[in-house]
Amino acid sequence: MFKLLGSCFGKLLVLLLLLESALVCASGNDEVLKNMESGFAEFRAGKLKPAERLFDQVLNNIETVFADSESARKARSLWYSEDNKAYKGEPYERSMAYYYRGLLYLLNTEYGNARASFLGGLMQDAFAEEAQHRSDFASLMLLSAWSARLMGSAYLEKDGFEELLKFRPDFILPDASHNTLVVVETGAAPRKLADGIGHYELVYRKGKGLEDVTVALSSKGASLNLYPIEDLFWQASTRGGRQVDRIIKGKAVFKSEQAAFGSGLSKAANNALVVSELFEESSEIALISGALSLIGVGQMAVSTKVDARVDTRYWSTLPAMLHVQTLHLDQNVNELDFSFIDDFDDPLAELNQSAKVVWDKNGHGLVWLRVE
Amino acid sequence: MNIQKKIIGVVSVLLISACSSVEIENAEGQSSQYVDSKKAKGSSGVGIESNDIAGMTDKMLSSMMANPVLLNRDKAPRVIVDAEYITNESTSRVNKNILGDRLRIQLNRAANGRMVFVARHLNDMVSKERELKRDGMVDAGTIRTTQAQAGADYRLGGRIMSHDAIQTDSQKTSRYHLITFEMVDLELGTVVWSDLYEFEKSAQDNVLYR
Repeated sequence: MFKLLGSCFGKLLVLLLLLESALVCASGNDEVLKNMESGFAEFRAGKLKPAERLFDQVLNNIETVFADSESARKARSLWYSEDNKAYKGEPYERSMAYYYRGLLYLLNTEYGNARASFLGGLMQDAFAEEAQHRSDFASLMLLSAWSARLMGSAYLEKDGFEELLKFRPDFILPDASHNTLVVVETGAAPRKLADGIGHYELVYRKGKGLEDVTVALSSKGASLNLYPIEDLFWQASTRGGRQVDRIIKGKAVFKSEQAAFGSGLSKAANNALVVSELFEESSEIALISGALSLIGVGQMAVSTKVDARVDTRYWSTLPAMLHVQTLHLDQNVNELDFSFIDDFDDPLAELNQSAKVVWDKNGHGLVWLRVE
Repeated sequence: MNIQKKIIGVVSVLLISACSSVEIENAEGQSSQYVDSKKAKGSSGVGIESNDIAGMTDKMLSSMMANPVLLNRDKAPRVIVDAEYITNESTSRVNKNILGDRLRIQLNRAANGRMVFVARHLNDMVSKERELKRDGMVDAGTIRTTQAQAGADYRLGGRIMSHDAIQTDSQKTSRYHLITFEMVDLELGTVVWSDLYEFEKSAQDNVLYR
């Protein structure tokens, strides 16, 4: 009998290994993530048309409602991890896709679509579970109000800036003469990590790179500090729980209960086997204990196959901080110089650099710079 | 041995059925096919789509064609129909030229000479050719020469607006769009024709993305 059970157990293990390899072969669609990163790379390289095309694809995917799909069903099932779903990013990542598309629209003098894009990003942030952190993406408020100004819509501009001041009361609103927007991105993207038993809990960590840096605009010996308007780690980590976390937590609980139940049965079966010799019906007891043991192993096998891991794919080329300033420039200015100061007030001279002023056909300037 | 075979058999069936659930979504793909641009798409969000553009421009076309100020004049009025003065104040990204161009071309076809369409969007092209003619680089052509390009009597303006609502508990999103069109007298500044198109959409994404 023991030989029989041992043989069964061995073959069961082999089959489980086959099952594991079959399950692992499936993975989620990363197209949106790839397009986000490629779109940014093109934007940074100044290849605006390819960047527009890639971010359009990203936004179309984000805006498409996946009422149900095979990949979504899989990601909700016990046997697959969350990353089997097609990637759309967390709200802060989606908001940043709208942010880059909005900047591209600004460069193309499509102010209405720029504003629509920035507001679209703001709405992604409205899905935060924590009420006090909903739609608090201040940089997008500034950019949408700035776009409204360029559109020539005074009331939309006023509404936008009033909303911004609720979240950044110390922000000095652009003077009527200002014709240039400066945006400097610093640091590295927030990282997503899986925490907890079974990796079912999504946690955020700050990106590894430049931290707490002050950005200054230098001109003729004078300098003007940019306003640090957005902290992406803050945006990522203050969202609160996601609705899908309840499903994932359910998977994790099921997994641990199955493991505990299986382990308990196996233990009971072992005990029964040990004491079976003391009874006349020892062969029947051994048979029952063998069956119990098999069920226990089965329960434990099921628990090992339950995949409660959260989706830790993330947009790795995002910055940590956004710094902004508006100012008046003559249209013959083609470059601005930037310097950087660390949190001990020491200059980071090695980072000093210039950035191009891009003038649109209506005489509005945009300066964008990324420093890591 | 018999029991062993049964156990292995049952476990194998279970495992094979588990493996067979590994499916790739639409693995065979889909070849390119024409779809009706006037019909709503199944997977769409709450923004403006092709069927909305087709619907609103069709409605504006019939509304303009029924306007006596525009169409029952002895001398055909000159109009500019483009997207230059259509502003997008909504939260939907839209290529306004699709609206302007579709409307102008359909209107031009339907008006059949009862309105004259000024191609202000191609002003640059016309200016360059006129310059070449006047510089003697090319001859005068066969039609005529004029003192200046055509001035217009009326021009299309409008606004795309939206109002968004999000139920934060269920994360159900809805967006109401109001698109207004107005034909403005370019001397007096009066509105000689106006109409609007409105629609609302709502959607709720899969729980995985909430």
